[in-house]
Amino acid sequence: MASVATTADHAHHDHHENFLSKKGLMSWLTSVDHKRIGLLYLYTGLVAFLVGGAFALLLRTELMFPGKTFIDEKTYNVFFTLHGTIMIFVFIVPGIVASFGNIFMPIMIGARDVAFPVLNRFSYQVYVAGILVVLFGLVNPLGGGPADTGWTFYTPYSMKTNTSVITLTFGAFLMGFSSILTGLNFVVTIHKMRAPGMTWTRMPLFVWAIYSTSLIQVLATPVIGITLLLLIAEKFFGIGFFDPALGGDPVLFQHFFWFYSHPVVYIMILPAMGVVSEILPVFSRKPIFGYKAIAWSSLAIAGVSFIVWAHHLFVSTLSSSAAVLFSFLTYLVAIPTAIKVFNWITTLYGGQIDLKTPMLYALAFVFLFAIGGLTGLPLAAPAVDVSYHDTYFVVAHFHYTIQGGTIISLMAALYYWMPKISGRMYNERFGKMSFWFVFIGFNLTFIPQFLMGTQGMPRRYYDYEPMYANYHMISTIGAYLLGTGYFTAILNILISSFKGKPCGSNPWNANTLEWKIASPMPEHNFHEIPTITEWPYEYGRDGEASKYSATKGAH
Amino acid sequence: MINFLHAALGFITHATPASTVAHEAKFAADFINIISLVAFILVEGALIYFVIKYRRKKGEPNKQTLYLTHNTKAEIIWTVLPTLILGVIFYFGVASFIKMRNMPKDGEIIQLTARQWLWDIKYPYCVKNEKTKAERCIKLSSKNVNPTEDSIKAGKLQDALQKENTPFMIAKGRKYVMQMTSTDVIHSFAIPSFYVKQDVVPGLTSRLWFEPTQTGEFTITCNEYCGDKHSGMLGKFKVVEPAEFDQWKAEQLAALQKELDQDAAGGPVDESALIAKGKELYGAKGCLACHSLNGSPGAAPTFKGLYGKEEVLTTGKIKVDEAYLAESMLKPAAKVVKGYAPMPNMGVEEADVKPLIAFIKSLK
Amino acid sequence: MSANQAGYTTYQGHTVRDGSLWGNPAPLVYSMSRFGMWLFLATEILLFAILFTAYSIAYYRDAAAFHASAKELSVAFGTANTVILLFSSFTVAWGIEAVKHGNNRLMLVMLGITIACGVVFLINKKFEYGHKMHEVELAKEAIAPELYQVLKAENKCADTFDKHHGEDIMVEKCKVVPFNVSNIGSTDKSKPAFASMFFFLYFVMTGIHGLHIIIGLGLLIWVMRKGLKNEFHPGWYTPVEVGGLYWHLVDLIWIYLFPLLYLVA
Repeated sequence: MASVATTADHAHHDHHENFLSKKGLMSWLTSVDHKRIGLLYLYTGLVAFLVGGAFALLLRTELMFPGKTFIDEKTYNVFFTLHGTIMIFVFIVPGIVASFGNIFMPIMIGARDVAFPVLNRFSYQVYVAGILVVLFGLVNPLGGGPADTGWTFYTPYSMKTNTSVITLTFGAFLMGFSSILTGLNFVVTIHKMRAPGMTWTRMPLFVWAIYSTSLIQVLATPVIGITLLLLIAEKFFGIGFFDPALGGDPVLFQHFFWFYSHPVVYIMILPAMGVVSEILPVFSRKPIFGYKAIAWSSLAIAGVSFIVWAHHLFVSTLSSSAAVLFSFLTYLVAIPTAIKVFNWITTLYGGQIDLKTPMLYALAFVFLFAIGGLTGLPLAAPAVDVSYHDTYFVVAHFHYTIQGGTIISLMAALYYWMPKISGRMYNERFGKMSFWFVFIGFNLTFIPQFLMGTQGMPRRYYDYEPMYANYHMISTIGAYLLGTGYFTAILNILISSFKGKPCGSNPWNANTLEWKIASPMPEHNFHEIPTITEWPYEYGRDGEASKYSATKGAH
Repeated sequence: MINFLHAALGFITHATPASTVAHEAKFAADFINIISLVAFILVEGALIYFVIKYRRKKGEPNKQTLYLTHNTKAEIIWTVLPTLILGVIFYFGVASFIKMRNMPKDGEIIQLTARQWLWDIKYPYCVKNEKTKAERCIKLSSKNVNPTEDSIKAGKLQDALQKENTPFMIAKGRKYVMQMTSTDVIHSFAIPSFYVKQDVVPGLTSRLWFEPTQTGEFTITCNEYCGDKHSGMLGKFKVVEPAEFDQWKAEQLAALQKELDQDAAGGPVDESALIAKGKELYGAKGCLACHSLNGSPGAAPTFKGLYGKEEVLTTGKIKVDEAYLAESMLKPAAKVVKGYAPMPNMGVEEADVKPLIAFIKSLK
Repeated sequence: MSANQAGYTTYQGHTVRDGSLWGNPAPLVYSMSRFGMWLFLATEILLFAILFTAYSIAYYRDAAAFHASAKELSVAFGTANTVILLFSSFTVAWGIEAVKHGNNRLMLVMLGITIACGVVFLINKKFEYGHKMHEVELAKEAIAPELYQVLKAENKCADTFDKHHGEDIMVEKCKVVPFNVSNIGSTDKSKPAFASMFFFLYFVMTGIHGLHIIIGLGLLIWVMRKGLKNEFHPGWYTPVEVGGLYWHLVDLIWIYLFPLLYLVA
């Protein structure tokens, strides 16, 4: 187990040098360091989040009053298309995986980098190319303006509209390709580059989450790739695969689209669950409850996610027998998800809970995601879905799961790991304040949406009958609170990473490998690859966190 | 306000059910939502309780935490119990659904055509002219209720326009089967109060059925995004007592018979009647969505001064005459005016052409 | 240390890579590269699986039209291409065996033959497509003016071309139904309007496959360039093997495409 660090290892290594030391734009753009690439994804994603969020605020401002508030219907339709596309393809799908997954997964398994570092950089470049194509589509002088089809691009409307659907879908295609390459890289890394002693059952749950997510990315994304290509080919050449006038089937597009887009929501949520599985033990000083159950349910969720897609098509002329089958399968996927929620809550039982900002966000995740999951139950029942489909009930459901789930967890990850990345602590008071703005604003925005959905308010509606006016007003006020919360939360992190108090390598007293090396992390992660002898969740054995027995590791 | 309080009881309330199948669907929804509510209280309650109870207290020394990694008994219980509950929910969800999907054999079949951005229905009640063998059935079209420049000037928003929308008359206690298709993109026909919804797909015929149990007016919404005026694509069913319905039906049929006979005799002699009919069709067929009457620009050329004008097409020039107008209404994509998108199929029929042309001619 | 932290050794007097990369030892790099390529092949298979699904659905809707349309394809071309690709898979496998036993020259020859086969495949494809284009030209002349207006109006590509090029190359750009123009808009299954469906799938599937042939050729050319510099030896030939794997996949996909498109008549 023991091995001696040679002087040669330290010779070229200055104690103050870390992965952020090399300055200059080119050093960032040409870097193959997984930590830098992950940070690039994080910055790009957060900018996309703010842009997508700005569109959301514009939409909610228009919806504040019945009738025209300040934009016309066509503009409104473009705005909700861009809101959805930017949020989903540019921000949330790469989301936690490509940012924090890139930065911390290799460190957590005791590796120096991912399996294919050059491919990692190429992934990021393809992703940026996708964004540029989308931006081009926004200002495209050739087309009829930015797309107005909704992020789902349903045929035949996407065929008939003369807006720039082709550029938007091609951009999404490129971003999907980037996600396949990242997923592939991570699967190989986790299989092949774990440090000695890092067995599958000693891997942190965040790594299990990244692994399951990467499997879905590799297997599901090709489907959307080819679907979008078929859409582009049909729009460009005018031949009707999805066009009923030429013998095609518009509902087939929906099947192909959702075959990917349902697994994609699990790409969004699994890493978020992984983050929460890391944070809860650290801030309760207890081991995670049911480690094996959580690990297995991550894989189970990844598997079952492929066979439930048609629950998006209950009302789209799907046969009754298919509807029954898919309803059954959808309830099946609820079971491992519920188990995780129970495990997280039991992790708190008998703990010593420290309500720092990351913990607040992690707890909010469990709270909000549980609501999101429970509101999925009526939607999975075809009889009820008939009433709720394409109403605000669905909008609220997916915002609770995606935003209340993934984005809240991303905020938790941001606050948990930025001290590690920058070496400086954020401002705790402002962190907590922003959190409450976010939490209260979020619920204020979306609870009215559940209520008006059950009353029949359809989605993607620019205007509405006066009976819904109060709900919309409250929802818009909530949205402004929410926006303020996110903006200040991100600002806090940004400013603190330059001006915050230095915090040392392990401010949270956590056991996973990244906390055993310096903050900011050294360029090659470890002096020598550690040998692992223990599970990372040994909290609370002696009243204080016990040492994670790495014989080598950080200094 | 009352609606808000109603809804604020949680996920338990919905639109007031007004059809037979609605009561079952509402039961399924309430059942699932109550279970969800109970689960919510238990789960979130435990979460909040633990957070408060096991909070690290400031100033006090750290306490020993419980080293608990698993508990087989608890894990089995909370796997099996939810599975059973989900099974029950699943049953209720599909049982009511199957009922919704079985079309009753004694239902009156109403044909529905959805198009951007209104609903056309055709009842199975028709009259025939014995000589010409021509047939007319009762037809109604909804109006798109998105406020226009003119309506806003008149202080009318969506609610006021919806009040003026054409009511689709149906009788309480009778079963209706909607047989639906679309002429352009996918729409979705939904009546929240009847708890029914079905996508309307071009190239397919989809169906839904209902039996109204209350009189009153019930909104129809389009629940699949279909373009520029999606949110104005509202309609309404007006449910009346069977006797009243039968009377309405008889009146409509009589009027149609008169029209038929008049047409067989060469059409209405009265020019003003023809123009009035044309004006009615201008609204009913949806022309008003794009063609203005007062010369103001829109998505399509204005009708004012159109007749006799030299129009510039994408393929050359033409003088607007009756033949051109007729062709443009029946085969919209045949000739396209330069600078505009081709006109979509508005469902104009042969019989509508003459009144519409008369109307357009009258707008100098 | 080089930019990618590769390790070097000597073999038969040359300085060659020893297979280690980014500080990872050669056996690990070899194992990871193969695993990565197999995973990537899985994604490619899924991509084509969707196309095959689309094909099956269209076939199921109108098998008769598919049979009729497939008759217009040249089985001779298709068979020739199949034989060429099968042969090229054989040569690339032989090349891998050669380098495993240190025969660099033989590997280069085999790679060269494989690449040549790929190029011939593409040339064949170009001739085949060319034939189809010619038929589009004939169809273009046959279109009546009114129908042409309808086509033009229905296809948004109209205005750009009118403005920028001045000449009417509308029909070619807006291929609605290349082979059964008179059946445009027909959903009457007795008329092979579905012929357009078959050819849409034909162009899309062979086009995407052709794209993968080009990618495969790029990969093999890159490997060959390295091979010409004597970089491969029995201790390090991973790029050759991984490139060969990709080529096998491209061949395998064609083996499925060929009967579906050419032999279904």
